[in-house]
Amino acid sequence: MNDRIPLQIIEGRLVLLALVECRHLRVRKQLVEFVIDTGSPESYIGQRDSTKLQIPVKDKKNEGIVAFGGSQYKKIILPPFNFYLLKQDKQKNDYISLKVNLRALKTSKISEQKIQAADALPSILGLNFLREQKLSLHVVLTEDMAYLQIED
Amino acid sequence: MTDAQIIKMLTKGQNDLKWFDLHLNELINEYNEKFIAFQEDNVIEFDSDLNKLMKKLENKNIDTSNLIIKFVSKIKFIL
Repeated sequence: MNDRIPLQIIEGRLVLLALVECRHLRVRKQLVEFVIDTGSPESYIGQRDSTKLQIPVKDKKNEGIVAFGGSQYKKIILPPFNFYLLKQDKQKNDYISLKVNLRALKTSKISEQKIQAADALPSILGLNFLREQKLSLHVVLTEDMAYLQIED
Repeated sequence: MTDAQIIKMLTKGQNDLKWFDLHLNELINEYNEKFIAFQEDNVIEFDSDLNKLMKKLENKNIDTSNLIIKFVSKIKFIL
């Protein structure tokens, strides 16, 4: 049977908890919660997590603008991240590591309220994550069950 | 970091998220419109401003690598 990566259902959303690192950005292993967002073609580190991970986004090259959570953000190009994810294994705890492409989101708003709204938004993994990592998404909400399956 | 440490961090993190979800209503009542940092069934620090929260954690010499930080609000947002 193909390996599975369990997802959690938190605040009614499908969530993947990852340990992420990026040596290029000097980000050592840190926990980041990602919402699986099938409505998004791309994957992003939200402003809150960029702050927590101390990712420098100020002078970085941007790839354009994206609308997210009702507001607009600059899309900042980042080097790939290493993700460490728990595997679903009844016999022993094990993990899998993946190389993941992410963009950072940065608001250009300056009002406290707008910055708080930007900081409130989560990091998301879009359909490109599933495609690039060859993962299928399985959700059975009536059984409170959700997971990613590694496809050959 | 060893394999065992990676697994331990992820497992603890998942437990923290589970705790958060179970206690969401209480957390919203107490910390509405605030960023909270929590770990092992406890809210470690909170603030309405994320940068001020990060500063508080830094001043307390708290390692944020295995902390979860979330914004709690009575208002649900749509992505």
